[in-house]
Amino acid sequence: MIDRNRYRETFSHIRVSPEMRTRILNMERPARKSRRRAAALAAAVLAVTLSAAAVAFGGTLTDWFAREWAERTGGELSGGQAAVIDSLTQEVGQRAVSGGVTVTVDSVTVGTESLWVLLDAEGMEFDPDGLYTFGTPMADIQPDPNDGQHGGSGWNVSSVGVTESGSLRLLLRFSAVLFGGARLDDGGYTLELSLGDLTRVDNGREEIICAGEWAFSIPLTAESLSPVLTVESAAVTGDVMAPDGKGQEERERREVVLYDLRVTATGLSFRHDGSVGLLMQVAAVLEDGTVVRSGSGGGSRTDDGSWYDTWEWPVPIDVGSIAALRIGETEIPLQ
Amino acid sequence: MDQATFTLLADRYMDMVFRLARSWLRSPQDADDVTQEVFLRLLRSDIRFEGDEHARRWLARVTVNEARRLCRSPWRRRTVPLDEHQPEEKFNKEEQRALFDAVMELPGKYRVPLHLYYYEGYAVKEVAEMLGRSPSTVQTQLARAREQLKKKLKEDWSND
Repeated sequence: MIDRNRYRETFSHIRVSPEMRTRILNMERPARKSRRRAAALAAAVLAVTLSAAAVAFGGTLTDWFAREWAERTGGELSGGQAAVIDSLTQEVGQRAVSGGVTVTVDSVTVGTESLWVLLDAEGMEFDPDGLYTFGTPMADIQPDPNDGQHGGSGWNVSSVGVTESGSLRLLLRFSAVLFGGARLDDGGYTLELSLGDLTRVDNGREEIICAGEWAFSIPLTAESLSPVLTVESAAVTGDVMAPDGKGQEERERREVVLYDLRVTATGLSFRHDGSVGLLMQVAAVLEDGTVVRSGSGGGSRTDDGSWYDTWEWPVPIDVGSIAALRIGETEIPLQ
Repeated sequence: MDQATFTLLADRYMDMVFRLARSWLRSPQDADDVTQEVFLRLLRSDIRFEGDEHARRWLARVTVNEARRLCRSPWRRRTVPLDEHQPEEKFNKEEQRALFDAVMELPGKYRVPLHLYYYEGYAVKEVAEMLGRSPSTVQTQLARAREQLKKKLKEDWSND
């Protein structure tokens, strides 16, 4: 007989791993140098807002990155970093109108395997405390950088504030797994965007506030190519999922050899033989000691059976300021 | 939120958040990611909870939203095969393993209300509000979940 008690007894065995528990309990709130703002900016997530009020955000992508940097590290963007972000960012200015709402692609920051696209929506009233997105956003790179092979991409869109003039600012974040050496910033690609149904999110419920579709075709011109630091191979130690010899897999601590490590302003990629699944955290350690933990990432098995992993920095980094990589428990100095 | 309050809440509710994320997402790694993101949001928030129940509900709502957000991204479907590197949960009894496997085979729209109702103890109306569905939809989904589990496990579900 199945009943509530048996269900509870069964699922009481589902628990966070000790490693994840330690990691979460060791999270620290970044120190704030300035007085706490009255608002929180929801960056790339759909969630219940906790802030009392939102400030108008009429800034540029660099301003947004500066806020992200302050949230994550407690520090300010360096001049070098701001220069890197400016060099990777292109103004776009394309507009589309649907359902009485005009959506404008303001600008795009183009990384090696990731994009940040700043959008404006105007034509109706927006709640500064509200969270908005598009119900059916589609993003595609043409031509296909992976030429139809493995890899893939992901994206999400969310509002980041309302400007003083009342238009809604949204940020689309796009990441791709490009294991064949292609780069989004080499000037040969176009971002095809189709944004459907402007939607407000409130307590988990979604409400379409303007049914419509806004489409854009954005050539990704390279203002400059990010320099690439390479490391031929490195042995790192950390958590992996490894076969236990009985047809299952279990978490353990192990040394893994990574090769073809590539560090750019917007992320890190490397390969390994794919015999284990990596559960290691990745971070960049800057010359001034700041640790920048990676954001999202992805991976793909390649034709030769090896595994290609890619990680995104949450904010573009001045490659010249990266002193080391931290992968799992290992720190790899960079020259 | 101050560090001491965060540590207390994280220690108390981490397993609850992970279980709820796990009930939504088939991949334990995805459940890990969602759990981490939920507590990062808690740490960075300015919210003051009125009590334990307020905190529990807030965490449950944010977990639902984060899991939903992850599901919308085509990222995992295209780049990380879901059947690779799946860890085994360990159970004391074979019937627990059988129930877990049977529940995880249910469609997500049935698994999540089942978990919120039977494990977390939320009322149908509360589950409906959390998931953005009507109470009658949740009732139907619970009934269908129980029916499917009955067929898979060839056992009756006691009425409660």
